[in-house]
Amino acid sequence: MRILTTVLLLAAALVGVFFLLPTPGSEGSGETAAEPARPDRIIAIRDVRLFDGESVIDSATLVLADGRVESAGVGVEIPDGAEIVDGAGRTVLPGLVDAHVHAFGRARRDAVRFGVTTMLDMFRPPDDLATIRAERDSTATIDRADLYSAGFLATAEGGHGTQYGIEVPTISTPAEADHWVAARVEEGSDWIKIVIENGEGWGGDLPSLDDATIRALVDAAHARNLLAVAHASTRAEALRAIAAGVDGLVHAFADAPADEAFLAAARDSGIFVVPTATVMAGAFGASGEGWLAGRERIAGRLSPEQRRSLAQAFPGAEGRTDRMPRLLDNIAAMHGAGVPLLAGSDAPNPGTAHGASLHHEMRLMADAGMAPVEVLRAATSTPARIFALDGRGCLQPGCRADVVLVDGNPLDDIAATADIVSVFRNGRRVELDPDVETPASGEVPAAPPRDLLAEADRWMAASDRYQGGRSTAVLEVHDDAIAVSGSLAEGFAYPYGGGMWSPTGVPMVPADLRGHDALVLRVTGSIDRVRLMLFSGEDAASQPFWIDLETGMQHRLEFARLAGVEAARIGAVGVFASDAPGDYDFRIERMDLE
Amino acid sequence: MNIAIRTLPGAWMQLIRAQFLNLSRTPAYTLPTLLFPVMFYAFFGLLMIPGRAQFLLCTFATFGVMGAALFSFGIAIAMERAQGWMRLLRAAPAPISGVVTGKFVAAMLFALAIVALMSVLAAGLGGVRLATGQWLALAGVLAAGTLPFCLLGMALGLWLSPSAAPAVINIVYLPLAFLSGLWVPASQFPAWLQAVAEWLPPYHLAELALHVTGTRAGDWVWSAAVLAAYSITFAAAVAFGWRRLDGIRK
Amino acid sequence: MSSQPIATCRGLAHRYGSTDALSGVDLDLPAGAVTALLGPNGAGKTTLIHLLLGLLPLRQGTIRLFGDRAPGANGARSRIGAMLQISGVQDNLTVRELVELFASFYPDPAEVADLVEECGLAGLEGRRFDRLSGGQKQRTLFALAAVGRPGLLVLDEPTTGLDPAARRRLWSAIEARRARGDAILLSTHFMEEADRLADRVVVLDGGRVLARGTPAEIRRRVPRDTIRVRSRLGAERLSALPGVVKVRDGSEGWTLLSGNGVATTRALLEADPDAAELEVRGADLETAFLALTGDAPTDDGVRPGCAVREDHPSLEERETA
Repeated sequence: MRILTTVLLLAAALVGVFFLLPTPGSEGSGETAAEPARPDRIIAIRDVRLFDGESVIDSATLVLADGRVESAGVGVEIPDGAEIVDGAGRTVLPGLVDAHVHAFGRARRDAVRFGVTTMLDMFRPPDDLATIRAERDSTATIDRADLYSAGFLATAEGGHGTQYGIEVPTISTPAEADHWVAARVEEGSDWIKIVIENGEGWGGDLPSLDDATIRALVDAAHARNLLAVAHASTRAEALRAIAAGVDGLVHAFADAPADEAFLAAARDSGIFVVPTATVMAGAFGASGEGWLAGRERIAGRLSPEQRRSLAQAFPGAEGRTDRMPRLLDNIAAMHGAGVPLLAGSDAPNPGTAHGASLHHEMRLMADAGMAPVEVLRAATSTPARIFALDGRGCLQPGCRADVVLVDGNPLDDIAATADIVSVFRNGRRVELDPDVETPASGEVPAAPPRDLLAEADRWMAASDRYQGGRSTAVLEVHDDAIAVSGSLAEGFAYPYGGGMWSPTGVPMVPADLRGHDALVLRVTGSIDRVRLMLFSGEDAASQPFWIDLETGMQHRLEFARLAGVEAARIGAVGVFASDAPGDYDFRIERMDLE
Repeated sequence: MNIAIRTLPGAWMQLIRAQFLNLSRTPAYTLPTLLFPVMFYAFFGLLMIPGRAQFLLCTFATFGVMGAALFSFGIAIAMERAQGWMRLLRAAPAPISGVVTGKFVAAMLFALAIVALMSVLAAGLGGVRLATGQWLALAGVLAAGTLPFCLLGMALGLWLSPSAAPAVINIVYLPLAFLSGLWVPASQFPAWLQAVAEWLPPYHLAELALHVTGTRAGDWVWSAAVLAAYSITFAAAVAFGWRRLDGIRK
Repeated sequence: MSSQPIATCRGLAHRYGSTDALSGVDLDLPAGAVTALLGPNGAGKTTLIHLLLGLLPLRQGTIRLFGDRAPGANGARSRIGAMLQISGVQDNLTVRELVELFASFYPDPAEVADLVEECGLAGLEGRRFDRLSGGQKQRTLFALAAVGRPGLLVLDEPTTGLDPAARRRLWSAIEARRARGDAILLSTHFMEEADRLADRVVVLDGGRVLARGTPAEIRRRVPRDTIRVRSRLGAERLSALPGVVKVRDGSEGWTLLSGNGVATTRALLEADPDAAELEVRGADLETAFLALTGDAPTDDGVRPGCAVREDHPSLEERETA
């Protein structure tokens, strides 16, 4: 019968469509079809608990191929030639998203080793955003986390964000907003970050943007389909941000309770919040350093930079410990009110480290009362949804093969996220230990003691002036000492001035000083303390180790006991006055390497 | 209902043909039924919520096949009943099972077409990649999964007047789809609403679709059991509604 | 009829809620004969037909079809063709598709070409149902009823709404079926239709049989015409005029019900040459019922169904009395 034939043909044609639909093996998604060396890129994690960004499958198989999730779920076939990874007793998670970082130097490399495969940068110079975008679109092998960035932040002249020595284009009137945002779009910003910070929450006083300017910035961002997020650290500033129409706050506040009025405003406006509890914990004298030190697979894998930033403390942190319970209460209240929360660390601020601190952040979110699955969403699918991170924060077929395999079950105990077994980035296993290059392999021979005061040409005067400050320093080399004098002036977050020795004679170009065990130092002068700064590592200038030393006595600092000092790559050693503003002078009477 | 066994195959085929001709001649009904859910998927599943193409393929395809089943059964039966066409078929020795089968086959073709169109979009624009077996399983599960919704549509069609049917079926269809997490995943609902979703038939059909595509493993035995239970319940409602036709004068 | 009837109904009764749609109806349908169910809207014709077709459950009385089959039974449905009062089929199917569809339901259907010819649908086979005229639609529905070569054709008001020409074409199709020996049950509210087609007429109203017999027998008891006139003749003289069944005095003159309007008028004018405002018109069915139940019409006519009360004895009862 003709009609039967027609119906059958139609059904067959429709079924035929499904045979023609692309399968994970078939190419058609852009990458070159003829890549013979495929097998080494197929990885199958078997019998694993799988959290796909939303929910959990207890015993699943996850197949990664060509930088993507090929298949995921129960009863998935494992392709021939796949590398089999046993997932029994383990949990596989989408690569984590750190929703608040400042990615300088080797940040992206350090983060990925701790399972953070995507970072949302909330302020960095935009010089290389084009490269970073291209890396984001590629599934080529890479040993760094992908980065999305706000680029420059919007702040008032002299406001928060200008103190880091980076030339920031500031803004002061609503009329400039559209042009300002257009410039960021031109530079490649993925969203706009606006600073609303008058310093009150930290006992200071900073110039800040007015409401009209904030609103104009938000409107200009929205007009270009960009999100507008705000740094606000007090309840009042958070409310100003919400009133201006921002899409999200990139810190929680702890100066006041998140009361019903705030929660209603947050809920009604539909904002999200990145609480950055871990950095605030550091500012409240409860940094994650100790907790992370107890996590074997984190503590043992920190790079010198990570150890250094983790070991730093915010000035005055001990005086704010009372705010910690309120911070957790506020996070709980926002979560309870249905405000989407995103996990973010604000690394590498003092007390935090790229990658590692996100695990502490998740731990704090759980402490605040969020269920583990909610915390995991906060570090995967929620940021992916809000920031439209295509193929991230998920483990469905087609998602990027950014995957973290951990021992245990973080859905029972969130701390299990720190028990990392493997991290896969674009489907390739990432080396978990820091790849600190050693200039020479093998034993380093002990070097003879060295009197640094004798190396006159390697000394120079240094002050905050080169980072935009107004302090001064004058250095004189004498036979028996190096004398420094000058004055400290307001104008930089932590004014300093003094002298700096560079092992190569060029500041920040490092030399290997592992032949020496310790630095011996004695300073006398008009001030009670000097601050010793040790610049080391690949990106030496950004995160110095520092310690305040009393004048008038001799100190011996063993490199091995200084967290984050990388003796293999010492870029400079500085001795600075950093106390109260005013004139200073001191003499470095002894500085030896032993 | 008695059936003339001898004439059954020919009559069935003719009834399926009649249904098919009817649909092919009413593009104003057929095309929107096909394209509405597909457009919906394109807008929300691909453009508005990027990165979730596969998950939303499963849920929006469930949404589409469910609509095709509810409408092609519910509205058509309400209208045919009111026109007297049903009565004429009942008076004639037409195999009623063939009448129902004709509509079921049509609903299955609709389902296949909707899933096929969405899958092409998902693969082409959403970058979704599934093993051929998974694509077929998706189509198979959703085509077979139209059964409870065909029965629900039929039960409604037997009770509703043709003027009330479109409105009532939409009132059943859209909230049921939303509450089952077909547009917004149920996991993003408040807990009490999630609890509701877990008892709704579209939720379980979507669960099956998510399961067979490896998008999210669910308890497929439980989902299939829930759907079977709903099918039996709706079939009972159909039987009751059919018996009721006897008592109606018109 | 000597042979056993195709259908035998005894003591049929049906209620919708508190309304008696049928009560105590007996009906036989012999083969090769057209039986007309005559009655106004609401008389119970459709209820009777639905019972016969098994579309309504039989709650009281018995129906035997083709000897021993119950309504709706398999052996009955495949031998009955039905033309019902419906407002639509699958309207976008063509005549041929509809006929083929219904042919597939029956074990031994008619040749589609022959049937189409017989029903006056030649040349229309490829036309969609919704593009047919009213008469063509009714003939198509008739063809659907006839396609299975049924032994019993049940036609529920087949000519309602048709113009005279269309009605005549359907009549000839019905007559062709009778000639083949089918039993045909036809409901109508046109006296003329019953008169033309039926071998037997059953007059139904209020769910009861008021009269049954051949058309001629019924006609004898039913006035054909209503005559209004101003005349000096008295009621007695008027009653004596040929054909007059009933006489009624009114403010506007006399009203006569006559079985033969022409003869009555002629005699009236002979007896009273001055008779004025003479008006003769065909009696409608309502008038006929009034006559059958012994009630005279009022000036403004009588609405169907109102004239007959439960307590009025039927014609049959009066005959037997």
